Amino acid sequence: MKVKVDWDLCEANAVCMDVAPALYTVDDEDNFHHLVQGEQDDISGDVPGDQVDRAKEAVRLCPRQALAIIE
Amino acid sequence: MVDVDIAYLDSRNWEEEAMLERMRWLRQHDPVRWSEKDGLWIISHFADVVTASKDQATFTSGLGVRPGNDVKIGLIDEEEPRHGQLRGMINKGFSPRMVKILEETFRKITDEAIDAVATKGECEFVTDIAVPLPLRLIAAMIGIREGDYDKFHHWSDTMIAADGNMDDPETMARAGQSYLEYATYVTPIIEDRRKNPKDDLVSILARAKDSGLLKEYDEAGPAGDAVGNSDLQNDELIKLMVILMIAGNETTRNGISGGMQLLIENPEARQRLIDDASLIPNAVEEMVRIVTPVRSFGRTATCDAELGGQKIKAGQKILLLYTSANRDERQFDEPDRFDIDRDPHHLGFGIGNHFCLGANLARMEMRVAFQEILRRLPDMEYAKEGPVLKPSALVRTCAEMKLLFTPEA
Repeated sequence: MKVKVDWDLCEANAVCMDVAPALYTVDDEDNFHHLVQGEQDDISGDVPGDQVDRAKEAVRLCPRQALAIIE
Repeated sequence: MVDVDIAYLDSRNWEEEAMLERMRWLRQHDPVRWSEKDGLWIISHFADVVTASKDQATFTSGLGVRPGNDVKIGLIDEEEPRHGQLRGMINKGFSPRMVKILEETFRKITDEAIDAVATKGECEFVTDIAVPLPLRLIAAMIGIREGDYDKFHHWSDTMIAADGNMDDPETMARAGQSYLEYATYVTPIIEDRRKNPKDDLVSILARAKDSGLLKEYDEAGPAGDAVGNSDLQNDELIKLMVILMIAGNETTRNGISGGMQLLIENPEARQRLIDDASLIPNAVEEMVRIVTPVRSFGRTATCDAELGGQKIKAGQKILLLYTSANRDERQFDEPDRFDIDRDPHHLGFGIGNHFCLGANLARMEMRVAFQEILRRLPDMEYAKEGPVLKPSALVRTCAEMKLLFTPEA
């Protein structure tokens, strides 16, 4: 499972970072980053099995619905 | 059994224990209930509050979020896509980056407030701690000069008093007067930031206005008659600065008061936080869940819809009870228990497009406040009786809480 961020929607509420600190971070300039990196900046690498529930929870809770599960 | 056939919009009915019992009954027997006295649906399950909050297309905020009060507030009752555009810009003033900058200021404010009472061995927690902390930070963010904080406090209180008192001409006149004074005060600050932008909230708002995103309303505002100054009245930037002032005050103030109450009533949890301050952020989430400073907001159905098995008709309003959702047995084990180890996902800041803009700021404020309180005055206890609560359908309000503690040497 991979997660894609829509940069146009993300406004750095940082809810994802609270829910899944191992997967997402919002840096000092308010930019979102996947911590499990994939080949493209906006799409994560494969989410580790023990983090799948948290990844889904972050997608569900994002206030702007800027995260989406792909594959 | 407690009477569930009451007006949920009437603040007088929000005596806390009775309301919590009523919500337990609603969740078990009638989670999407038509309230005859309010003329709207009462939503009490966590899952249904989430569903409605995330579906703005069906359950819009754009037709008001305080049923019974049709005055446009701004932002919070704005429709998409404009809400998203406004928010995308204003949010920059409350982002993790900005909150980090504000933390140092807030810690200083907290320490000064504690300094003022620390050697006395007693305080009235609401007036001495819970009120000045968020108030001074939002004042600093708006650019209020330190000598004018009392004035700012007065403006804030008199404007807040207007909520739910639209039929009282004296209260409304005072609110109108305060609006005018506040608007007059902040106008040169806005002009200054327009010419000399800084890295702050007012500069962000000034930029939003110059870009044409903020508008002049063409209708008369709530206090139009009392003020008679439609230029200021209809300036969306100034209206936003009023909302930010009020939202930045009442909510965090009562989060801090309610949190303090939970610490006093749960001494084991408090001791763990004193011993290990790294547990405080999670404890703050649990405080926000149990206290739920913002108790309810409304939505309006834009089409015929279904929610929790009930048919909602187009045009009907629903009232989302965050207080109930946050104590829903389907979501939380032993929901009335203050458990600082709990997985803390609650609806204290709402969810979806209108998720609390100030959540990052509020979390930082509560974390720093309790870090300092627990470090410096770890043994606060009720002086005599517990807190004095003021019933409100909107904000869980602690009016007074007298405390005793070992004075600082």
